[in-house]
Amino acid sequence: MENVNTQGRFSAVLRARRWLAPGILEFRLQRPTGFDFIPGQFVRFVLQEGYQREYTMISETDAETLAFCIAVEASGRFSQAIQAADIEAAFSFDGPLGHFVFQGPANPAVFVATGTGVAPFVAFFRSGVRGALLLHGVGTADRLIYRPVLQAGVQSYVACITGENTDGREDTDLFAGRVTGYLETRLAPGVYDFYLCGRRAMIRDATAIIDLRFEGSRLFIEAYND
Amino acid sequence: MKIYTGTGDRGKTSLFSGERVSKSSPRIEAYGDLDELNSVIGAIVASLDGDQRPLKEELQRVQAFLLDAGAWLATTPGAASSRFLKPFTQAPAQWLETVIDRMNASLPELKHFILPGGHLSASFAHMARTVCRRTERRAVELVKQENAATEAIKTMENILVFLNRLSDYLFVVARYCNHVGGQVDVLWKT
Repeated sequence: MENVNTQGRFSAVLRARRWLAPGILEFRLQRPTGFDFIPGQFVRFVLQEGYQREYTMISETDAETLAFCIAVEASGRFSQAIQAADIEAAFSFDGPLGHFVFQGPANPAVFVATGTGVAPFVAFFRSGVRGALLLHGVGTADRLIYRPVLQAGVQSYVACITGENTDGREDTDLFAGRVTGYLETRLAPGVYDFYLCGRRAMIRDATAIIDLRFEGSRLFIEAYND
Repeated sequence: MKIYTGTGDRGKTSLFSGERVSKSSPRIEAYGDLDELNSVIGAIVASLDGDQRPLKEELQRVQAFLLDAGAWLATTPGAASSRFLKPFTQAPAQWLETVIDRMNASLPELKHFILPGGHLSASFAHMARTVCRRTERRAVELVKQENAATEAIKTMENILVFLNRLSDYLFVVARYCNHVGGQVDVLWKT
């Protein structure tokens, strides 16, 4: 049996940082010796004053750096800290944590994300997972982070836009509405493996639809703190 | 951090292996009873006097084993997510046999049936024993219903042995609690 329960406290230095979209930052830490993870797992960052914040790795499992993408909030203590930190500044984290990993091709996979909830799916695709339908829900199209990576990795990529008018746009992968709207009106009936990652309200609403329309499907959930 | 998702509001829940099942399904009944058992053992621990530290630690070790077992009960045998579970071997049942023998050796020989009760901690131990038997019955039913993979069958067999031994252990714990609490077991008078 594969041992995936090894966890520990690690320290790593900041190597790079870049903006992916307005309010969404990607940063990379030097990967500490002995730190291994399964795509989809996360770490819990620990700030000096005991404040903790969890983020999913989006990098390849064998990369030299660990990459993360985060929504920067004005009141977010960790996101402000990482934004202001000098390159080479050290950060502590516990991990790897979590069980939100790809379960294998038992049923057609449907990945559903809102905002930076797309992070574990980026990790899935970078580890070679293929053939899924991905729904990425965002307010505006400029927040469709990692779109090229995801489009290359999935069988179907659908950007679900709720905050702007998509009439007249030439993109063929747009759906005007919420990810739950797509599940309710577009996805063909069947048995799927659903992977949901994002805010609790989306997960609650999507689960209700899945129970109603896609009986026999499996469901894997990673809920973000609201 | 919020602890609720609202995904179980309509009578279904997710197994650790992802399946959506009714909250009254055999698997949920089984690990629900296991959860109840763990809670009653927590009540035994809470009712023990301060000088019963070794017994408290022993019971908390049992609680940890029950959490390990519960994770297996919440997972469809052979599912990919099993790789996250801690292996459940024969060791916990073997450890129980050792502590049963040791504790029983300190007690007066029992020649009659006794009535469940006595000291509060003993009463909780009897309650835990009966919940343990119910949990075992549910787990047996679950094993009968499923065509499990070989490795999963071995694990379930280990859990069944553990539960069987655990109810014996809880019986001895009940007698021990009465003994150290100065209570005499009440004999069944026919």
